[in-house]
Amino acid sequence: MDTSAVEGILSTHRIQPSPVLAQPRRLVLREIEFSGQKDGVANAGAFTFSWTALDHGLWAMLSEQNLRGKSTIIEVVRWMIRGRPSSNLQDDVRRWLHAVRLSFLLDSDEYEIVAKTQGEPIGSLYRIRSPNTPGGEPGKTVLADFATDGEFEAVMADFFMRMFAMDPISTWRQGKEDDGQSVTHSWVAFSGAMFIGTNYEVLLGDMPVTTGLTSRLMQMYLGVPWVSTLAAAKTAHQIVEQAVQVSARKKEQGHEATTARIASISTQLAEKRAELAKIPSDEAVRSAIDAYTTELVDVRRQERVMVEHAERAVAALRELITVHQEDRRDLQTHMDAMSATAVFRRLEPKCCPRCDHTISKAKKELESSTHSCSVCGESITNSEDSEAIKAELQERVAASEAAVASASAKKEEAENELAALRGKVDLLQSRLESASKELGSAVRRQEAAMAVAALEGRLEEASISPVAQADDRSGELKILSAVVTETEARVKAVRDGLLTDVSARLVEYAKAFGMENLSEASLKGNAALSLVKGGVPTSYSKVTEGEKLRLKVAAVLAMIEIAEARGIGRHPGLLMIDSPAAQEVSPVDVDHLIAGLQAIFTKLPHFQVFVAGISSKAITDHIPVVNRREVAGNAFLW
Amino acid sequence: MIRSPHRDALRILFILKAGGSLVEPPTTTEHALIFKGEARLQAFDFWMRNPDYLAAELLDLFAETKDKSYYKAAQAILDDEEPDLRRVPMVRYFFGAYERLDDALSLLRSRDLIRITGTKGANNKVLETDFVLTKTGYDTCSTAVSQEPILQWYADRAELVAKVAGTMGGTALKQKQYQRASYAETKLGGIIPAITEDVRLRVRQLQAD
Repeated sequence: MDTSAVEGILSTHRIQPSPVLAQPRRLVLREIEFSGQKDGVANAGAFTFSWTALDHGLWAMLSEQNLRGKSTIIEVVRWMIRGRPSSNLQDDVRRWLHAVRLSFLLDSDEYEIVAKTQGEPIGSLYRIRSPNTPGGEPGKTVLADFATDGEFEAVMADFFMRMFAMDPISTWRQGKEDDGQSVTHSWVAFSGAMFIGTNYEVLLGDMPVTTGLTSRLMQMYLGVPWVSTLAAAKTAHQIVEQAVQVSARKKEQGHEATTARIASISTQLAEKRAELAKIPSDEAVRSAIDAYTTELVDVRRQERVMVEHAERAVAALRELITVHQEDRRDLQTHMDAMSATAVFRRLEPKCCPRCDHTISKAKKELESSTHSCSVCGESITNSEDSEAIKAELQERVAASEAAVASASAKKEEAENELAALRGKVDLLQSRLESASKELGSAVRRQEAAMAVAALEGRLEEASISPVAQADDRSGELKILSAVVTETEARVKAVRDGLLTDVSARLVEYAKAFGMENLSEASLKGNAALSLVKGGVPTSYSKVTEGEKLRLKVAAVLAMIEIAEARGIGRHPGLLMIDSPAAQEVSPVDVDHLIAGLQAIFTKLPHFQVFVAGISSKAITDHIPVVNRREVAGNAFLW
Repeated sequence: MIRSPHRDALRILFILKAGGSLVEPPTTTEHALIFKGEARLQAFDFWMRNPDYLAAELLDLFAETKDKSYYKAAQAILDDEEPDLRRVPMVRYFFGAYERLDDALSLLRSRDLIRITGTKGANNKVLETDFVLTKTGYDTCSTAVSQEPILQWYADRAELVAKVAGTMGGTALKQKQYQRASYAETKLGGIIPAITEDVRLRVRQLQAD
């Protein structure tokens, strides 16, 4: 693996090596001042609070009653240091505050925050310069101005993160499905290490357990090197893994789309190829036209012959029908005539039609003897041949009838043949016509061929499986995985034994704070704390609130002390402990805590610890009066 | 063309019977019926010899009277091909020379089936020729049909012609026939044209109606 490639990946994910920790800087409060106007309460009116000449050591804010302003002092300090008020600062108190000033030392440098706090905070962060001449006025340098809540928070976060040389803590928060996002907890989270409030849910800080921040925060207390590197590497690894999964799924979808596309193109291609195959070439069309033309000429000639033939057949039929009619009429006439003649034969002549003279008897006798007419004397010939004529006429009728039938059949035949020939002509003509149209098909054929070529190209293109070079992040994942493994090993090497020592010291502090029956404690890397109390195994979440308070303080102090001893501590050395309401934690527990803290200062001389609590003998015994702000009875601290 | 004077004579005989009326006042028992006017006889004979013209008249009568029997008679004439088979062509006779009936009439007279008489004017000029059907002639019509059933057609047709002619006189009938023939563009002196196809067309049209 190329080194530059690894460096590229590390730089892309902003993973920076953190083998050496910055020197811890000590934060010591010097002066706390605030003023304003109370309203809506018994002691309404202007107020001013000022606490100056603060230094290392144990400090206390005490009252005989609760709700006398102890917590407000802590919350004001917290507000100034974080740049953002915590939810513990009451809304009415926030409204009463009109001006706040906080001055503090970072190692030997002095700084001051001055803010007008009616509405959004308006003010500046100053650096106090030593007077140029002894006894002269110290000078002030404005480091930053702010005029809104957002600006104030940004100014303080930026200032302290740089002063303490801290890296932002990144954690990966798993979202719904495959989504996730990296969340950066910066100064607001880190500053939690300096305040122990009345929320005992978590052992360290004041962020909810669900953020998964507690273990990281603990590592910051203990100041183990490589922690920020490890966190950044783990986050980067998760991000890349996530991206790979998403990309794999997309690639799968892409593959399906490609398959569908190939199928679609193949179908279109098959259609176009079939279309192309159907379009004949011009050469074929021309030879077809020639063949049709030759055949048409021949058929036309046959048609002409047949027309003549049919005309003759029609004429012949017409003629024969006439003849046949004549024959039938002649036969009819002859038959009628025969009958008429028969009738007349029975009638003898009575008179001369010319002169109306009656035919004499003698003439009638003469007629029968000589066969000469009794009227005109002409010979009477019996027309015996009329039957022969009838037979002949009947034969003629039959003959002409047969001739008509024959001619009719011939005519029909000729007409059928003519119709067939004309059908052939029509067919050939329509073939010629469509063939002629096909001649213009060269363009269509060209177009079809182009379409086929284009589709073939598209099919080839679609068939090439896309090479997802950009998606191959396995190398990157390997590198990140290696970074995680390596930094984790280094963190572990330093931390091993550390937690054992912290746990042992935690037990000592807890005992000093009055938890004498605690025999064992085991702090894990994830800030889980398991305990053995009175010989019974238990855990942080199961003990009483008073015990939780003492365990929290003990854990913080144990970590700070062990870290100091090993030279890895990064804690600023300021600790502000707000004691809980009397009904939640017994005053005895607080007494134990104060007594224990007092004892610890021999080990941590540069520490500055503030404790807010109910006045008690234990406290006043351990804390010198100059280090106390105290009110008696129902009085208020401000 | 076969001609037969006997057939022509019998045709005339049937016409005289169908178109004759009782002799008023009755003169002798020998006289059965009297047919008045030679022109009328010619007119009757025209319809006998030209069935298509008769059919045309029948169709006119049908159109006029809505009597379906006329139509059926016309249709029967065409169905039986009578215009082709029964036509006896005749020269145009309305003006000038026409086919004379002398031969047929002679045959009838010689058997004393008819007698030819006439109405004379003051100057002894014949105004109208009348034909008397004798009792013998009248009876011959019946015996002829029973002896030769083929002749029934003449008896029936003569009755039909008489029915078509009605009471119209010879001049009126000839006028009627002349008009129709003129309409058929007869050439002067030519043969009376067949109007069979015209009639057939009318029959078909009426059938369709």
